[in-house]
Amino acid sequence: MLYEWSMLKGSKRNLLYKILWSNYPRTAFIISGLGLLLGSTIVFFGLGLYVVFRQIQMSDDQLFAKDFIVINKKVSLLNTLSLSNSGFTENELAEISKQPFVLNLSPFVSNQFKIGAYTEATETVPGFYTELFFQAIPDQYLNISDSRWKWIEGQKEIPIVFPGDYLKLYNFGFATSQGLPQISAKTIGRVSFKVKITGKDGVHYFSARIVDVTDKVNTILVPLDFMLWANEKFGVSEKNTSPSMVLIETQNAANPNIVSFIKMKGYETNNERIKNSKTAFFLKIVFIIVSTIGGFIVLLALLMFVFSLEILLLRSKESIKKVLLLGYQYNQLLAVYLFFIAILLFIILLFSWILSQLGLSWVIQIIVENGFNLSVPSGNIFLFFPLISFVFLVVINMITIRFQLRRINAETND
Amino acid sequence: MEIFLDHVIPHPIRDIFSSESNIWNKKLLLESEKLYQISAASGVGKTTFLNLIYGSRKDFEGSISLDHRNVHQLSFKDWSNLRKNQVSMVFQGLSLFNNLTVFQNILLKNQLTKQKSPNQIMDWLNILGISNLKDKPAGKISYGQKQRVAIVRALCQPFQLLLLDEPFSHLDKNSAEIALQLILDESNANRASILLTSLSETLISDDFFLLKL
Repeated sequence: MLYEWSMLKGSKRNLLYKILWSNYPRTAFIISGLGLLLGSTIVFFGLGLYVVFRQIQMSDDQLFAKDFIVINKKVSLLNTLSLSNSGFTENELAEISKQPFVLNLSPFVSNQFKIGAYTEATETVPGFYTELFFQAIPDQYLNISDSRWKWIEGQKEIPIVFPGDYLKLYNFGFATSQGLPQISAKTIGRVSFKVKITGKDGVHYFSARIVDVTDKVNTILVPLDFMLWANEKFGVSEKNTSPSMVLIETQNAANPNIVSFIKMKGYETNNERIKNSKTAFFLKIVFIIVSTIGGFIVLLALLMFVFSLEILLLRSKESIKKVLLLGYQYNQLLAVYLFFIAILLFIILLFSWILSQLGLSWVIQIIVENGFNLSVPSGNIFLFFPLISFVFLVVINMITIRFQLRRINAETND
Repeated sequence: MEIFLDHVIPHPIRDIFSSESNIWNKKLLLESEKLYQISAASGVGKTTFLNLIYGSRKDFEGSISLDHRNVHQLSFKDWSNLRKNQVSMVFQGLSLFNNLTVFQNILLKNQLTKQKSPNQIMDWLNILGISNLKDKPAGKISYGQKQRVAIVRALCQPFQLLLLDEPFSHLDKNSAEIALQLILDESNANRASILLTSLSETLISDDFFLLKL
C-alpha cells in the first residue's frame, strides 16, 4: 500500500496533543511550575550547602597523619600565682589514657633550656631577637617527608613546623606595620633564622628552617630526635618537666564523648574538628530549616501541579472518552500527557539546578575568600539530586494520569 | 462477525421495552457477513443496543458474545484492539473533534490503524462531495457534512462488524445513496456484517434484514 505521509501535516502525537492539551489551565500550570522552580532551587541549594560544609569538616590540613586532638589545662588565677601547675601529672595522664576513645597518648616534650631566635641586621631590615620555645611529638603523627623533617645529631639546621596563627600575626600585624614582605604558606619554606640555645654547658648556635605551617597545634614543633638530644645535652634539670600539652590519638576526633570528657576535667583543646563540630551543629540546623522550607514549597507546588493536571484531564474528559472509543490505548494517551510534562519538569529542574549551582558557587567563593581551603565538590553529586527529583516527579505525574484515565474510561463503560 | 445475544435487557429501558422486540430479552444470533437494519422510534434503545455491542455501555442483564467471546470477559485492551481491528462505528453524536480539521479527524483514526493512504481518503471525500472541506475545522461544518466525515473515518480500519447509528439522518436522498454504496463496497471488501439503526421501518436496501426493537 502506498503511503504518502510526507504530504500530511502533523504526526499522531501532534493530533493527540491538539486534542488533549487544547485547554490546559495555563495560570495554574505557570504558578505551580514557578513554585516547583523556587522550591527545588532551595532544596538543591540546601543539599549542596550540606555537601560543601561536610567537606570543610572533613578537610582539615593534611600535615597530621592520624586523627588526634591536643589538650591542655585551662590557665587560671592559681596558675598565675604559681599555686597550681598547668602541667599534666602522671595520674592525670594515666586517667586520660584509660578513656575508651584514646588509642594512644603522647605528651608534648618541651625544651628544658633557653631558646632565643634572632636574625642579623641587614641594610634594609633591622635585626631582631626574641625568646622562643619548642615542643616535640613523635614523628609518626606528622605527615612530613623524612628528608625535610629528619634531624640527626650534628646537624646544624633544625626543621620547624610553625602555627598558622603566628604566620597571620606576622603577616597582618608585624609585617604590615614594619613594611616587611608578607609570607605565604607556600613561601615559608624559604624562611630561616638563627637559634641561640643557652643550656647547662653554655651557648650553642643553630639555624632553623620553617618546613610547614599548621592550624591544628598552637605550638612550635621541632623533631623529637632533636628535642630529646637537646634536653639531654643542654637541659637544666630543675626545670619543670611535666608536659603542658598532650596529644591524644583517637578514632574520631569529632566524638562527642571527647568534648564532654574535656569539659568535665576542665581541660581545653584548640582542635579544629571539635570547633567545627559546633559550627557543624548550627549549619545542620540551618540546612534542616532551609531544606524543610524548600521541601514544603516543593510539596505545595507539586500538589498544585497535580491538581492542574487533574483539571486538564477533567477538561478534556469528553475528548479522552472519544479517543479511547476510537481504539487508542491508555498508554498512548499517557505518553502524550507525560511527554510534555516530562519536558516541562526537565526544564524546571534544569533551571533550578543552574540557579542553585550559581548560589552555591557564590557561597563557596565567600568561604574561600574567608580563608578556608576548599575545593569545589564534583558536579556529579549535585546532578544526582535533580535526577532523582525528576524521576520522582515524573512517576508521581504518571500515577496521577493513569488513575484519572482509568476513572474517565470507567465512566464511559457505565 | 457473529453476535449472540442471550436475554439482554439494558438497565435504562428495563421497564419500558416492548415484548414484541426482536432483540430485548430474546435469544438472537446475528450472523457474520449479514446486514441488519434495526428500526424503532426514538428512546427505545437503538443507540444503547449499538453501544452494548461496541463495549461503551456495560449496564445490561443477559449476555452478549462477539465471535463466541463474552463481552464481560473482555479487558480494556481487548476492546481497544477490537475497535482498532474488528469493530468500527459511526456514533450517533459522531464524536468528531471540533478543533481538528476534517482531514485531521480522519487521520486520527487512520494513524492508529495505518489502513488507508491519504489519496484513498481524499478519493472518498471526493465521492461524498466534501473534499473542499478537508482543511476546515470540524466544528465549522454542517451536521450532514460531519456525518460524511464520520463515515469516512469509520471506514479507515479493518472491520468485521460495522455499527452505524442513524448515519444518514441529515443527508439528502442522493448523498445517502452515495454514502451507502461506499459503505457496502467497503464492508464487502472486508467481508463484514453491518448493524444499522434507523427511525424508519422502510428497508434502506434489499440486502438488509429488518429487526424491530
